[in-house]
Amino acid sequence: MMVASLQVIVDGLSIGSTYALLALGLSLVFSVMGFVNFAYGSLIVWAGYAIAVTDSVGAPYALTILVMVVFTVVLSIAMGRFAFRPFITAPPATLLLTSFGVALALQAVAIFVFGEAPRHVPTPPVLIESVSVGGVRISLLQILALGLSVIVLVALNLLIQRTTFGIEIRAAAEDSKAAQLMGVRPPKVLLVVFAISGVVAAVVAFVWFARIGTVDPRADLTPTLKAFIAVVLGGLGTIRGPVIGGLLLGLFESVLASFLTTNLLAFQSAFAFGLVILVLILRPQGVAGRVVELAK
Amino acid sequence: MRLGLTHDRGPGPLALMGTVTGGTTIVIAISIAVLIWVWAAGGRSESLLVNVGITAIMVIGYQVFVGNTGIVSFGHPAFVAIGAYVGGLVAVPSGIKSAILPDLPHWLMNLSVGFYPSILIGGAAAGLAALVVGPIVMRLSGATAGIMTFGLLVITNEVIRNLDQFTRGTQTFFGVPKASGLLDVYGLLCALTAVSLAYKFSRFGLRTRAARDDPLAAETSGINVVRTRVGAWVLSASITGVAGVLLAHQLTAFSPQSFFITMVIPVMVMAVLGGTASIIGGVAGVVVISAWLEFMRGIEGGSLFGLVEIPSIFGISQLTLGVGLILVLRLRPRGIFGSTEFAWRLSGSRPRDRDPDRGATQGQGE
Repeated sequence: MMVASLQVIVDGLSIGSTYALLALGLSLVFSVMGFVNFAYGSLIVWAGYAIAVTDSVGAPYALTILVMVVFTVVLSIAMGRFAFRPFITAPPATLLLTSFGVALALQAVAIFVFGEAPRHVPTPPVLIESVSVGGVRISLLQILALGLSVIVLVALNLLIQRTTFGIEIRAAAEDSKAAQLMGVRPPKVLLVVFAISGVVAAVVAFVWFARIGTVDPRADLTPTLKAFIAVVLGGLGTIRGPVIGGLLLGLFESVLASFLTTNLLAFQSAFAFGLVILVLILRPQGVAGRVVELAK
Repeated sequence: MRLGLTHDRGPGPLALMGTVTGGTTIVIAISIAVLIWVWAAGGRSESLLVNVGITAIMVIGYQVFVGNTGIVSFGHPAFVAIGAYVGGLVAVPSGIKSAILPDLPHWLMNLSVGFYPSILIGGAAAGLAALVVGPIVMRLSGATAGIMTFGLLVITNEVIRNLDQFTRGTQTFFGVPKASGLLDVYGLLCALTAVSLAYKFSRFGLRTRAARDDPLAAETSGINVVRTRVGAWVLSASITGVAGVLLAHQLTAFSPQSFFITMVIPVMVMAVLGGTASIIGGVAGVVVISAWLEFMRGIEGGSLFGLVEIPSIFGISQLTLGVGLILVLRLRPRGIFGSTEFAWRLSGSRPRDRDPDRGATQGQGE
């Protein structure tokens, strides 16, 4: 029993830390621009294709990951520059619709270029082999997922709290008009935020595809969904919120997976959203979110 | 009496009548044109035009919520699905029902209603579902509420996929009589246009729009923001549910994946192109985008007007919809019609120039 519950916690934390990062990437853009980026999952999918394509020309694994990271960051910045920067003064609903348009376009291009069939995304076997530690099965990937998440979180925290970039981002998130008057240029902040969010997406994509092993044009739905749930669960507008939401979601899924019978497991997303609804009845702003006006 | 564009209705019941009948007149005119076209063409493209009519009802349902509350919904296919499955379930003849759904409860097994009762039941079921979740979702902030409408779609889809006893799960649900005639669909379209116009310009619609533009001021004036949103949400869901039942009677066979996120894409683009704050705009969006999609279907099918053979390009119509959505939002954020509607006016009376919907979904700035 002890070992079983420990296993549930380990699995939950490792997947939850990935969800936490996903939600964080989404929440970063939200805090500055005030909209939820529907195209975030597309970023992950294209990162997967970047690995698959570089691998298909025979590059070693480390190189494919490097190419993927660079590509994802560039794509994220391009997204911010060309799709979202022109809308910098528009209301959040317009930006939300725009991001949906971006997601549609990116998916259509993926279908056009790569076709509907899933592509293999390679992973060194050493990453996914499980070892037993005191009866608890754990893979290098799970440890890596946890470790990377902690590193990203710490780095992000330092960046946001200690650097000029971070101060500008926080200022723009707090009050964009006042920040502008103090010499913070919104377009620059926007690009920095999209760059950071791209780095986070790249880290998520690495862990995500090492676990899943294939990528197809419609694979953006799951990451988008997980990020949405985590973000709403934890609450928007803080760093703590999405992290807590992601970890909670991971633990919840892991508990469900171990206790539910197979035919009930089919309702997994419904259960997760049910949990969200329960939490929202008690706390409309999420577990650790800031109270925002109804209008936002 | 003349027909003109207006932002708002004047005071009094007569002005309300003028605004409601104005937009409806246009839709009736379009419907008559469609009927004449199909009759003249000897039934050719009838099926296509039935689909377009159903889509128009979906867009009108979508507009009632998104246009009046300013919250973007991704979840409306859920109501189409509920309408289709519930309306379909009660309409399947008992004989077929016992073959395809052997585990149904007895009373449901023997229940088999006609076309219009099934539409009422399906629409009511969608409205009821919206009423259950509405009070929870609608008190969230706009962005979170938008996400939760998406969550609702995911939940609905999963429930339908796994409720084998009633829905056949992921297998195709079939046996619904083919009953969505051209006249039924376009008749309902005209009626529902009138309903949504009446709602928009009623005191309830006015409160909802006020809460959209300035929730704080609205609340200070004694408007319950959450309640106005729930009202629009439930009406919107019922209209969308009706479209779902019509779709069930048109397709006769369907499966859960027919009602997922891809279904909301054209509906959303149509509403945004025409102007989410305008009902007649939504109808205009349906006309333009339907024509465009039909054109693209020709291209994706590999032929241009059946004349030139070109290689099949897959996913390209989705690409044009995505890019089109961004371009419309960039170039004309409030859509073709903004928030204007058609209205009958007594000759000589001046239209109101004030635009109460300045702050609608696509309005730039504050």
